[in-house]
Amino acid sequence: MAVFLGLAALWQVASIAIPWESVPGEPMFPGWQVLFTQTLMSLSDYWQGGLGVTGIAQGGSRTYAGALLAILSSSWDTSLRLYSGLVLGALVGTSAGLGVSWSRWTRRLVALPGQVLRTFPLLALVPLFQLWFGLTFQGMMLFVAYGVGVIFFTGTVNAVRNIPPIYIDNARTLGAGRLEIYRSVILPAMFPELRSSILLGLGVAWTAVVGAEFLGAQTGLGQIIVYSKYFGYVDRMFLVGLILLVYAAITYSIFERASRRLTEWMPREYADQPALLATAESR
Amino acid sequence: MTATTDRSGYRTAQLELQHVARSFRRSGGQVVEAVADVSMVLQPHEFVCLIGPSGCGKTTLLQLIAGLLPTSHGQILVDGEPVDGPSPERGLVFQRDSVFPWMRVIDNAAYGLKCRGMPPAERVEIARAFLGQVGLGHVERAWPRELSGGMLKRVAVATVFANSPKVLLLDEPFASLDYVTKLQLHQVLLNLWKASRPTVFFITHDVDEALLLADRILVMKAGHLVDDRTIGLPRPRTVEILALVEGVAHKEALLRHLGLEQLVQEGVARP
Amino acid sequence: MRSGWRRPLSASAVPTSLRRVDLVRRLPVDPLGVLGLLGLLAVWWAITALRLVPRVFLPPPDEVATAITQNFFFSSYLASYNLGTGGLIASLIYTAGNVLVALAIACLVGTALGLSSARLEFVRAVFDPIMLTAGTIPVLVTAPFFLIWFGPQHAAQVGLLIVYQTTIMYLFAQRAVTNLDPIYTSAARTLGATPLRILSEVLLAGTLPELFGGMRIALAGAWGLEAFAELLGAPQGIGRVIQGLATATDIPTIMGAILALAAVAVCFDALVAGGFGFITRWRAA
Repeated sequence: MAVFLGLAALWQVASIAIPWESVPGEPMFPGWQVLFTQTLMSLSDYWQGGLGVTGIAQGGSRTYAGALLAILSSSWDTSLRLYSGLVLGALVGTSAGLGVSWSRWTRRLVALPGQVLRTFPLLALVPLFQLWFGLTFQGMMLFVAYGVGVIFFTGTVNAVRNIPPIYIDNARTLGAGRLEIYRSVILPAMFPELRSSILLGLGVAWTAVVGAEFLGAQTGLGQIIVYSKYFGYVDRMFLVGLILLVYAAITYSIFERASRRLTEWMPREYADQPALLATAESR
Repeated sequence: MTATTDRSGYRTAQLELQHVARSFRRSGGQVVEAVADVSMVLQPHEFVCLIGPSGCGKTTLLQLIAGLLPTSHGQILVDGEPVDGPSPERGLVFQRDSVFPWMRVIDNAAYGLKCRGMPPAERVEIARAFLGQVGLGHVERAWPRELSGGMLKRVAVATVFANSPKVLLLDEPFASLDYVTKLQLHQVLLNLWKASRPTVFFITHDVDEALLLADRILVMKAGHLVDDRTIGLPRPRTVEILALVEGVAHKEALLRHLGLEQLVQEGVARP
Repeated sequence: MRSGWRRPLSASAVPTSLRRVDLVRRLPVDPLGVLGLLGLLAVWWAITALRLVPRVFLPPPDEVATAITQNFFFSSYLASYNLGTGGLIASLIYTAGNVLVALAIACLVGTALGLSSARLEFVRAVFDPIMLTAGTIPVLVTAPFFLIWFGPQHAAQVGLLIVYQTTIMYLFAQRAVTNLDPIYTSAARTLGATPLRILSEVLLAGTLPELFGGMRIALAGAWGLEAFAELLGAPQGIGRVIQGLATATDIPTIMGAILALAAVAVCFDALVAGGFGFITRWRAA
C-alpha cells in the first residue's frame, strides 16, 4: 500500500518538476489535481448526448455528469465485449476439448494442430479479424472468444490426458458406461485445470479486448485511450488507463475468489491431485 | 592464534563452549530455551558424540558451533578465537542431502577447495583422492541424481574432508540410511578421521553408533548437558570389545539417560 | 512440449509383441499429430476449393504460400507500401531484434530483482506490489504511453516488452529462490563460499531451470505484443507490415506474414527448450 502512495507522490512531484509537454498545452505528467478535475471533465467529450445531458457535439458544456456517463457507457461497451467473448470462448473451448478427448485417436489427431494454434501470436491476428468481421461488436467478441477458446481447449485436453488411466480403468471395471465415466471421473478431475484456465483466460480476454479496441473501435475504454493519444492528451490516457487498471484488478480478484470455490470444497490433497477425487467419486 | 597442529601436521583445534545458550521465540509468543548454559571443552583430535532424545537441543547446539546461528548467550571458541559465522575450518556434514544436484560428484567434492581459490588441476586431484577413499572413484563424473542415499552421504563426507577442517561437525548424518549402509559409513568415517584427525563433534540418538565411534560421549537433555563419559575402549570397536563389561556398563548408563531402563537388567550394572 | 500421446502403460494393457509400437513411441513427434496437421491443411484447401467461404475471406493455402515465398527475401511489392525493400525477412529481423533485446534486459533486471527480493525484505516490500499489479493489468494499456514518450521508434516497443517480460522474470525468479532448499546455502557457507559465490554458484545455478521456464513464457507472449506495438506505430517490423497490408486488404500476404511470425516464435521456443533440456540435465527425472 505504502508503495502505491509513494508512487503517487512521486508522480505529483514529477508533474511539478518536469514541464515536458507531449503537445503544446498538454503536460506529459499531469498532476493529480488536474486529473481529477479538468481531465475528468474533459471526458464528457465522449458522451454523445442523451439522458438529460447534452453532448459536446450538440453544444453542451463539459460537466462531471457528462464525464460520468461517458465513463459508464464506455465501460459497458468494453465489458460487454469482454465477458461475452470470455463466456463464448470458455464454453466452446471446453466442449471442444472434451469432445476431442472422447476418443484417444481424435485427441492425438488434434493435439499437434492445437499446439500449433496456440503459438500464433494472438495480438498479431487483430487486423485479420478486423478484415474478416469488420469493426463490429461481433468481430471483437469473436476475437476475444478465439483467444480464450484456445486456452480452454488446450487446458481441457491436457487435463483429461493427465488423468492416470488406472482411474478410468477402475471406473470401467465397476461397470460405468462412457457417459458415466465422463460425469464422475473426468469432469471433477478437470476442476483444478478449469480454475487456472479461467484466470489465464481472463488475462487474455482483457488483452484481447484492449487490443481490439485500440485498433479501430468506435466506443469503449480502449478506444478513448487511443483517440486521446492521437491528440496527445496524456492526462486522459492516464485517467482512463487507471480506470482500466482498477477494473482489471477487480475482475481478477472476483474471478480468483469465485474460481477458488471450484476446488475449495475439495480436500486440499484432492485439489492438487484431481485423480484422487476421481477415485472417491467412482466408488 | 595459530592453529593447533601436532608434529605430524594434522589440522585440528580445541573447541570450547563457555556458558552457551540459545533461545527462540515461538509463534505463540512464548520463549523456548533450546540450549541452556552449556559449557564443554573438546581437546584436539578428540572424537566426541552427543546423545540425546529428540527435541533436546542437540541440533541447535551444533548449528551454534557451526556458526549458522548466533548464540543468545556465551561464546564458542576455536583455539581461543570466538566463532563468528560459518567457516570451512568447521566443516559440517548435514543430516539431509546437501550435495549440490547441479554439479557433478567431482565438482561437489572439490567445491570447498574451489572456494579457497585452489587452481582446478590441483583441487580435482585432491577431490579425486578423497572420493577414492570413500569408494566413489568410479562415479566422479556422475550427477547426484544418479546416486543412492548412501553414496550421496559418502560424497558429502568426502567433500568436507577434502576441505581439511580443524573441527568436524556431523548432524545425525547416517540417521536416514539402512543398517548395513550405516555401518559401512562408520568405517568410511573412521578411516578418514584416522588419516587427518580433526576434532569431531558427532550428534546422534543412536547409542550403539556413539559407542562405536566416540572417545567421549556427552548426554544432553532439555538443553542441558547431563553426563560426560570417557569411553576408554580400544579401537577398532569390534562386537567383542563392545561386549566387554565396561562397554555394557556405558550402554546401560546411556540407555537409562534416554529413558529406556526397561532394556537394562537390574543388579548387573557397574557405573 | 511434452508429446502427451505416450500413454503410460497400465498393467492391464501390455501388448507383448508390439515392437513396432515401441519404435513409434521413440519419435519426437506423434505421427498422428502430423496427420492431424495435414488434415487441417486438407480441410483448409477443401473449404477454398469448394467455395464454402468467399475467397476474399479465406485464400487457399497455395496462395498464402506463394505470398510468403515471393516476398520473403526481397519485395518490391512491400516496398510499394513504404514497407522497405527487404521483404518479410527484414521485418522479421527487426521484430525479433526488439524481442530479444527486451528479453535480455528483462532477464537481467527481473532475475536480479526477483532473486534479491526473496532474500532482502525491503526489495520485496517495494517491488512485490508493483510487479503483482503489473502482472494483472493488460500490459497493452501502457503501449500508447510508450508511443507518446518515445515516438514510433524502437524504444517504444522495447520499453513495452521490457515491462511485460521483467514482471514475468521477477515472479519466476522469486518463486524459484523461495523453492530452493535452504540446505544448499548452508552447506555452501560451511564450505567457505563468499556471498558472491553463493549467489552465482548456488542460487543462480539451482534456480536456472525455473528461470528458463520463465524465459519461455516471457518469450511466447512477447511476439504478439511486439507485433501489436508495431501495429500501433513503428518504422518497421512484421506488425508494421501487417498493418500496411491490412489497409490494402491483402489477406493472403497478411496470413503469410502471421505464419512467418508464428514460425519464428516456434523456432525460438525450440531453441530455449533445447537450452532448457541442457540446463536441466542434472535434474531428477
